[in-house]
Amino acid sequence: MSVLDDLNRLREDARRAFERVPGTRELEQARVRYLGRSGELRAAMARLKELAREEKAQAGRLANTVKGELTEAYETAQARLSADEAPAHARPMPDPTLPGRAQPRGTRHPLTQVIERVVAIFERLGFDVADGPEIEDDFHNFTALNIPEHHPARDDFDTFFVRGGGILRSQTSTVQIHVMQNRPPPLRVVAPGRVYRPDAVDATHFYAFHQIEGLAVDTDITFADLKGTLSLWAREMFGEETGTRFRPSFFPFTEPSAEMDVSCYFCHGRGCRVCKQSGWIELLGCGMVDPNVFEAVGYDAEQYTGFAFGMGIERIAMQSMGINDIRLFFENDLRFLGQF
Amino acid sequence: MNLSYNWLKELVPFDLSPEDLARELTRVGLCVEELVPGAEDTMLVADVTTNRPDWLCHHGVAHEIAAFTGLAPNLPEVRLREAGGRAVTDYAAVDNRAPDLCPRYTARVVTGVSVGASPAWLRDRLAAVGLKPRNNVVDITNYVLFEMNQPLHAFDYDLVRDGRIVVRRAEPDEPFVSVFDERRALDPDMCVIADAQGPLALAGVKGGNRSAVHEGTTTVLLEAAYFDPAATRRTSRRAQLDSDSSYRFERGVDPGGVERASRRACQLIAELAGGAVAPGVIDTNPQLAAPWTVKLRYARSDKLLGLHVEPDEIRAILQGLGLKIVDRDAAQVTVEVPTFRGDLTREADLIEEVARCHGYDRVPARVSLPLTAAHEAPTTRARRVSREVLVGLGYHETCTDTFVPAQWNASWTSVAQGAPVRIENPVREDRPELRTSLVPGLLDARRTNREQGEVRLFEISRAYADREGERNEPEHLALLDDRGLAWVRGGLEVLLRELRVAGAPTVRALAEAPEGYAPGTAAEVQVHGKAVAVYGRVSDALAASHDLDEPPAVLEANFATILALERADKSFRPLPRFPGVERDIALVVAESVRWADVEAAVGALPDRVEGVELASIYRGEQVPPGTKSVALRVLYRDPERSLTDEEANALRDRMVEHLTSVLPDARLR
Repeated sequence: MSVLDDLNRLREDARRAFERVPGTRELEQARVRYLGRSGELRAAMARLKELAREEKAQAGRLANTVKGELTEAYETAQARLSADEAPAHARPMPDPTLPGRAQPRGTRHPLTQVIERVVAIFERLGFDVADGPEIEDDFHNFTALNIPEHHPARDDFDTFFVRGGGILRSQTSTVQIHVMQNRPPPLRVVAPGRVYRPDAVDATHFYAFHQIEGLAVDTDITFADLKGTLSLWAREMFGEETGTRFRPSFFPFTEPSAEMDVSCYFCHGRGCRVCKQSGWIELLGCGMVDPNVFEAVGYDAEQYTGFAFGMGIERIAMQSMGINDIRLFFENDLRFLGQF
Repeated sequence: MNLSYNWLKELVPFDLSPEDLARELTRVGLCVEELVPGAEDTMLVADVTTNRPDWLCHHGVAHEIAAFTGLAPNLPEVRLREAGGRAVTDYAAVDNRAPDLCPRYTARVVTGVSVGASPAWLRDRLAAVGLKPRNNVVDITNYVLFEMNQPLHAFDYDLVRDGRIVVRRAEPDEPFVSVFDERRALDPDMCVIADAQGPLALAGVKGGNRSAVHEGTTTVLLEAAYFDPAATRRTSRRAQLDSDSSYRFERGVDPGGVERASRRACQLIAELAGGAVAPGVIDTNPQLAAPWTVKLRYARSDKLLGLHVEPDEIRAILQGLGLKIVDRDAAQVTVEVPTFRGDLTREADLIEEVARCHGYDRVPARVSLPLTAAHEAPTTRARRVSREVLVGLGYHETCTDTFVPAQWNASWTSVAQGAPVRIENPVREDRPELRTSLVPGLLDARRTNREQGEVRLFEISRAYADREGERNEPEHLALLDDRGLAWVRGGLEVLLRELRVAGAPTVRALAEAPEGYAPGTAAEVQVHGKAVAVYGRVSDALAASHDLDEPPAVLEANFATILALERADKSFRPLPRFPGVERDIALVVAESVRWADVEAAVGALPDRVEGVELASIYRGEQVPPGTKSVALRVLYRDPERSLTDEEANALRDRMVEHLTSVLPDARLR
């Protein structure tokens, strides 16, 4: 048989064989027989030597074509078999409903989250963030804030005493004094920080807690601005429909003084257990800066007016997140932290 | 402060239910916290702020109700009928030797008194404000206290030696026994009401047991006085005694109402306990209180409130509160303030009254703050970025107690310099110091989470230290990681990179482990030669003291130091044009050889070395004991052309030769 015939016959046989092999074992046998080192195609190509030049070229071209076709037929057969044989090999069935996996993330502490939210709102209104020491002196914590020595107003601001002199600040209002001592008006600051009161510890009291103080001083600041700014903050913080209410109160460092309530974010003012049926939740103290405070820091009380406010962070966090025990913030149980 | 609804209604003929009254009082600043309905009356429990002592009595609240209802108050007239006979000065005398502590002292005498039960109306009235009736004379003094805010004290006249009262400072350690048998030793800052024998009462605070009115008392000496608020408060705190009386003196009673209250009480004693009031009153200082004037400029009120209130209304408000107009014109009004409103001394105080009575809710809410370019401060930004990075790396933020046991500070070397700050009056006796480091607190938090498997914690918060009297509060960053040293180092490196710190952090092992660290595990991180952080594994002993089975790795840094590092903005570096080639080298080295040593050795032969990584460390049967196999992967790259395999091999061979010669006992594996 001529080499050309040989090649053509081989081409047919092999192609048919690859199409029909029932399994991978048979496929391998076919591959070895036709495409292997000692296989028929090799043998046919070896015979090219015998041919005259013109025939050799033609046969060579045919041999290459056959090689390509057979290789492709082999690969097609291979693919066919692996798809067919999957069930027989018990490959695991894909299950897209398996639990999700992810790089574990940590959490920011819930108090940090509240502080960051509150501060972000005021930053949008142009407030800077200020800081101050926690170990304070009598002047910053009391006298400059218009709380004279031996005055019953000090009862509301009981303090820890530091050995060697000094106290731990009982409110962030101390930062107002530091800020005003260090820069001239106008100014607008918020100051978050930790404060301390020697209270007995229970579900709603801890001897260390967090407040955010706010202060705005300029030539034209009014009680109306106080109401407007804090109402705006309340809506940003708790939702568009949040209402605010200002009631007369007393702080030594503001005059007039007020307490601000927000409409209960659980019942929207209808009355529930959280707001003790009143529809309102007491949130923060505020007022116009008392002229005595301006005097203590050397501001001209005739030319400048200002408003100040202070809010307790734990209280806001506990109410808005439904947390029922203040001690949880300091215990740092991951089952608690991981909820926020 | 307990208020009786019926009593108030007697004083002002208002037409409000108890709930409505409570709401209205709260609206003007007298916060009614609770309503306690009784059989016939309702008690309003009010929280009176320290600036309004005048609200500590029913007359004071009645004035307020009259002001906001516009009704005229109906206060009972004080009509004292004095008996004939010996004048009060025949019975008693007062020698005030401490007029600074006791600016005014008055005394009256009532003879022929029958001490017994009070009539029903008086007992009911006292019950309505939560007081227990005792006897008619004592009950009357309590009644007038709640009526007019004037504390009174009734002495059994016959038990006062010679009827002579001396108002003086106590002697050092002078003994005193109160009417409730409380024993105290007094001091010269305290004022006593005494006779020749000794103290009869701790002035303004508590009566003594020697001269109290009892069933057999027939003659009463009635004290009505004004005691200095600050002195009373100091005395009350130091003697650890207080009373409804001291509460009011501390806040300031009406200096102009003292004598009137005395008359009122004597009137009632005469009416209810029989008895004849000796004519006259002993009064050491009738001129004590003169009303004062304050001016209010209308424009100032408008400016402060941001609301225009008509001058007519302003004047009506002030008058409704009992202030008397003594001068006015188009721009201002000047008022005389009655002595029971000691809180109104300045223009700002009057403006508060205007706002309060006009209604805070009528002031509009306005937002008109001028635009300013407030920027996020670098520290705020750095804290925020740090938290984001650490949370992203899987760390949970903790908030730990500022107060710690002294042992925690003693057993840990903090990056903060200085001695612990100590608190004189801690709430927890076992936590009397402020933390010098966050790490022990993190270990405690780790202990809380013992059941939670592998834990990673961080905190950015203050530590406290005393350096020769100067108290510092450095902000610290601390990490705790169960996975080990490499992870806390890696966490910090990621953080420094995200904070755009310029310069690569380097690490050097600390030869001596600071207190609390396991030996040989501590290292310091530096940037440009500046120490930035310390980390290491906690010692077994320290871990055990916190009930931890496995000592975690911890890191702490002074946050300000990190923030002070130079920053470099991100800038583009062209991508390499030619591929690099990696070569692995496995070296067997002595156990004592550290990675830093290998890194340094590689760094000494930098020719076309782009980087070196630690691939793995092997210890075991295939290497001799006391050694380990360190597999490193070196990345070679020539910026100008592709390296061939042969060239890379040659570089690798040179590196191997170099490392084995430079590192002690090192050989190729």
